[in-house]
Amino acid sequence: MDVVLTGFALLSVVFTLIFGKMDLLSAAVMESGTEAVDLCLTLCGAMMLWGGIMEVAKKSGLTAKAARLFCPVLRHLFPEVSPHSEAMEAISLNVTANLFGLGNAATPLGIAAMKKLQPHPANITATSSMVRFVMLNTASIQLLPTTVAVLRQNAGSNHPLEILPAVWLSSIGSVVIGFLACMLLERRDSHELR
Amino acid sequence: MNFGDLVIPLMVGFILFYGFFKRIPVFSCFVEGAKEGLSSAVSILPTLCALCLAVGMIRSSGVLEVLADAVTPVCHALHFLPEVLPLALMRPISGSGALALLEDLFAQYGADSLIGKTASVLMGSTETTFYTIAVYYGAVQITNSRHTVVCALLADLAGFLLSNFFTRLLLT
Repeated sequence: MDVVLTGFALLSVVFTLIFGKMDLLSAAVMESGTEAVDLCLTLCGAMMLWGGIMEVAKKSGLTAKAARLFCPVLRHLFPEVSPHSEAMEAISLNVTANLFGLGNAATPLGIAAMKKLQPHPANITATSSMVRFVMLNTASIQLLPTTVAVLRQNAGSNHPLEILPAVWLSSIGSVVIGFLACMLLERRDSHELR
Repeated sequence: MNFGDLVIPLMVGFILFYGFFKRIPVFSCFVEGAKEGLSSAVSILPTLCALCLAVGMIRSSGVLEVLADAVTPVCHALHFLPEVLPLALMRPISGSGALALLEDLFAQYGADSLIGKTASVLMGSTETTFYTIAVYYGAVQITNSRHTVVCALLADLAGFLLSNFFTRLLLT
């Protein structure tokens, strides 16, 4: 992420110096802090709500049941995570929320999973399972893209949901490519780590 | 009625009832989980600030528009729709920015045009990559993300190419 932050900033400054509109860039810098707080407040509400609901689901044993449902598939995608661990439960819940298109619920559940995947609190390097899990979340796996469907309806589409099969196939394709990339790059990386 | 409108209340109601049925202290459990959620949200604020800075700068600099222009000839050569390019470039960086572009495309070409459909498929099959990476790693204080960004962007690229391909194949 060092490269991303520095790269984005440098690219923007150099580019704007050449093509003008420095006032816009300056405003963007000044507003970014406020924007982060707004974003965090939105997230904060969702995180508390779903954190609370999920704690109830965990104590009553519901989450373990959800985990069993997805275990056959997820076990192959996350070979380093034990199938009956709390980490696998958290991953299954995040996948469930993603499939239903509940973005607000998926993020807190995903963060809970990241905490379970963290081997020890002082660790600052992502494990291979973490990379796979984050990649899965960046490559949307929604069954029902509700936001897009609503926008299409508002824009006067006759068939707001006709895009579904194409969405599913593109999603699956991009997730497969992502996992293949992970598998290739993991091997190269694991030599450096040792 | 929206599907999401049905799912969420049913799920919440069921989870709470099931907990009550299993005789666990539903209220104190909820509060405990909410407390954990609150501290997670607060702990990712610094990460969000860094992300907003990077995203805000790149959005207002106009780099994306120029990059889209530069790649347009390649798009034409491959029979992809260049009109969807700015959306594809914005999508991994900013969710709200991408939604605005999608609405523009709908207004300009119509939601049921080939461009509108391709944009919809692209929007539905990809996520706000950099936000997800920042939030997930920020929550566990991971600073070395290894090959995450490369893999995620490759998946995004595949999403763009495949959404063009499958829209043409299935929706024309």
